[in-house]
Amino acid sequence: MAGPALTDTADFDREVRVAIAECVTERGVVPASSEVAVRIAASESDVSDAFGRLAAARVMILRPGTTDILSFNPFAAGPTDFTVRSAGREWWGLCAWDAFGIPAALGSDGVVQGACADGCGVPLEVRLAGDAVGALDGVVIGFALPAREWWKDIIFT
Amino acid sequence: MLLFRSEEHARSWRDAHGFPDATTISVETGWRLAHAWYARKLQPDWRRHTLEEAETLFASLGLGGEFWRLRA
Repeated sequence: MAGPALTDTADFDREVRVAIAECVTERGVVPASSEVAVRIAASESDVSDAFGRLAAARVMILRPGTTDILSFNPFAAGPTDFTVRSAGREWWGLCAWDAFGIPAALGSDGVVQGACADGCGVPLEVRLAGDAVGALDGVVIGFALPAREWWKDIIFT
Repeated sequence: MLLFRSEEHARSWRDAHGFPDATTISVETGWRLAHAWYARKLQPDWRRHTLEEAETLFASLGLGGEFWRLRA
């Protein structure tokens, strides 16, 4: 399992990205580098390096200080404040935008469950089906920071 | 990006946490935005939007002005 030549890095990174997407589609999970390595018959070290490059290219977000995927946006690797039921599975999004993006990426309807962020904690559910959106009257999505600042601290964003 | 029960709750959060530029969009716009942004993410030919494409997308959803500007 030789590592990719420098000239092949873009192709290798694409192969890794596609393998991650396949894990999401087929198994409903955001994979570890070890699973991707087995799937594409590459070394875990090479896959971890690709994870780093994909994160730098803002294809996904890694847990700080690791090469573990925090979110292959919109799909978070583990539980968050936003739970999504879509395509027969339960998923998590890092934020409301990502939560809405999960059924969009899956090409399916979905139900997003979260809570009002204003301390009141009122449970909120948004049903997304085709062009229809169902939610309590008045529910909104809030953006704290202007668009140009989102990637300065994407985990906060 | 957070969910709020109402604009009033969003304003309360904005003031309490010191984000004077914070804004809101409707869940309907959020769904259209998420669909346009992520519909192809699992496809092999997916690529990131360019800044220009992203700004064009925002504008097509009525999201304009300084808050939604990506380029200097």
